[in-house]
Amino acid sequence: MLSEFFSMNPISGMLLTIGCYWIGHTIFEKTKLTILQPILTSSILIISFLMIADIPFEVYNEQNMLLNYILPLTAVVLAVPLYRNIHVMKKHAVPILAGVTVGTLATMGSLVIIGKLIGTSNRILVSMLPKSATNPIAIEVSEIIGGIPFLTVSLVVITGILGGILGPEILKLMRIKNEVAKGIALGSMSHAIGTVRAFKEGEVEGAMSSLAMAIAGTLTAILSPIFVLLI
Amino acid sequence: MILKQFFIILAALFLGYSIVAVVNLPIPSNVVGLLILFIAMCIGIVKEKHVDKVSDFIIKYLAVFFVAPTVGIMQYFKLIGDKFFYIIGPLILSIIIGLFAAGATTQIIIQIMDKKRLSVGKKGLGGNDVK
Repeated sequence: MLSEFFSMNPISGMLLTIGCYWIGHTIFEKTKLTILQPILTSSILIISFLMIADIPFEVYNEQNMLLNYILPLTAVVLAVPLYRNIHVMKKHAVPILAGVTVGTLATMGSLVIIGKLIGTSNRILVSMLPKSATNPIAIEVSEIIGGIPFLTVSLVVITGILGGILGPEILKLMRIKNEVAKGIALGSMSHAIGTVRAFKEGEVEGAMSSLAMAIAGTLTAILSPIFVLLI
Repeated sequence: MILKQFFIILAALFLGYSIVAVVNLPIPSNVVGLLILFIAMCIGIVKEKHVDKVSDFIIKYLAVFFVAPTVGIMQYFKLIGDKFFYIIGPLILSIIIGLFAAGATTQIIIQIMDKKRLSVGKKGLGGNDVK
């Protein structure tokens, strides 16, 4: 009954998306807890609803086409924060570029090596490769290199949350105290979620993180087709 | 004007698609679009005020666009359940390694550059003393 009612109305899917995100956003604004990311809460709410009401994902996704069509635009606009932070870049160009490049190579390289050692299947490993890139870039990269974009998107969210929660603690343990270095590490490993966390640490950390996020995303897009040859 | 801002961003994406189609690059069109918009801003063809409102709005609510794709994970619950440790193990370890690599590289290079700057400064002072 509910399933038919949902499927009949072409707006129900998008209404559900925006409504649940609104709830998630409100919860996050109140608590400011990294784990309560609006995208995580809203996805859990929607998955539970679809499963209980027995609505197939295809039906829900079809009704979100309007959002899906605008999705590629979301990467292009990242040029603006990159441009705004260009002055910080000028001051520390060498350490920033080196840090993001080494970090991106290390995370992709170690992922492939560890995955191969324990025997993670190739299709999953390929889908995991762009996990540290921001989602607008990761979803397209996954498609190009033959991954499962739905899996990649979820892994990107999980990576962001893990990096956002554990990142500052891990960096402290590893005696990385420099503000620039902390921001670069958080932004290049856990994109937007890491950047929100970095701004909590300080203004410098935040600016560095948003810069690192855009550079790391672009680098991931360029390096992924090369790394996929190793898988 | 919102319409003009939207047009410029769409034009950058359009150019991105065109370039990727012509050159046959294995890079996403929207990343090429990002680079085109960034270069256009650096050269000064596009000013920040030409794209700021639409960009800020999209970036603020970026995650909304990824709710439906994230919900898509429900199609793969069985695959993930079976392979959970094969996924989460490499994921966590590679994040820790990447954090360390990025942070340590940046920190060490900054320290080296600061030391160089400091020693150059000392030389300058020494020279003054001789005078």
